[in-house]
Amino acid sequence: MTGAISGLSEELIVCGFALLQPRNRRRHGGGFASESLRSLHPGAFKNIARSAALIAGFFCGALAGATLVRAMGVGDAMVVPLAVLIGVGVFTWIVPLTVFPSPVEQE
Amino acid sequence: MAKKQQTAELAKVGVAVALTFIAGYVDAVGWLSLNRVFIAQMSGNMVLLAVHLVAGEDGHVWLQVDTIVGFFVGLVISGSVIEIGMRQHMRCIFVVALVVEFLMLAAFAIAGSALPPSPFAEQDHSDWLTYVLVAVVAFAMGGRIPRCAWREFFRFSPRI
Repeated sequence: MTGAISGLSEELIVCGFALLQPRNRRRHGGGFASESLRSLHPGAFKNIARSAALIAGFFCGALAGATLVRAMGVGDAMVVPLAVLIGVGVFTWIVPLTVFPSPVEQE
Repeated sequence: MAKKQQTAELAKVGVAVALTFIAGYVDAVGWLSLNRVFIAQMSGNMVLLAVHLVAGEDGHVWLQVDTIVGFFVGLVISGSVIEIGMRQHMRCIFVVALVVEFLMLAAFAIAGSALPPSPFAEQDHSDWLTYVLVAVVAFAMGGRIPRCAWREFFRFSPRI
């Protein structure tokens, strides 16, 4: 979570500065500063949405876990993550998301 | 082609969010029922390990060590299995990690029924069952999908 939150802050800074950059400010190397930063927009917005979704997912999980373990006890409460895990397992079995070569092999 | 790529990207984010949900869920259940240890968050356990060491609380120290070692062993074993599978170009290799996680969480669910019924109460039940369950669930959380695989699998680091 620490990483996701700090990542979100970095992405927000990139996006915010890109949006706030005056259109007519020139760079040392030529061209406009706004142009070089604005090209990052699509990626930055996507990363912000992704990090926010991960943080929200973790928080919702913790909230659900804390609520259900109180109401149902440990044994019954664990049915929820097991059901989600079955869903994810079946999905990744049907739609393999693996990318080759592996990162270790690549290095 | 671009739409297909977008759908694949969305599917990966969906899987990442679902796994993050499980991490949050199990962390909450673990913290409440397994003598105040974080099952999926090792930074917290490192801090608690230091705090308990200074306080001289041996039972808690060993519980934190148990969690960190279980998580680490899970990561190493799962990472190695996934790496071997990926080198063999097995497209469904991640399912193996998920099946192991499922079996371990199912074992925790069954054995967890024997835990005290009021998990919100302050408690200190560092018995053998707690140690075993902490190791099992930490192994499951560490072994789900190692970080190196996440990075490439999802083309980004989930940084949880």
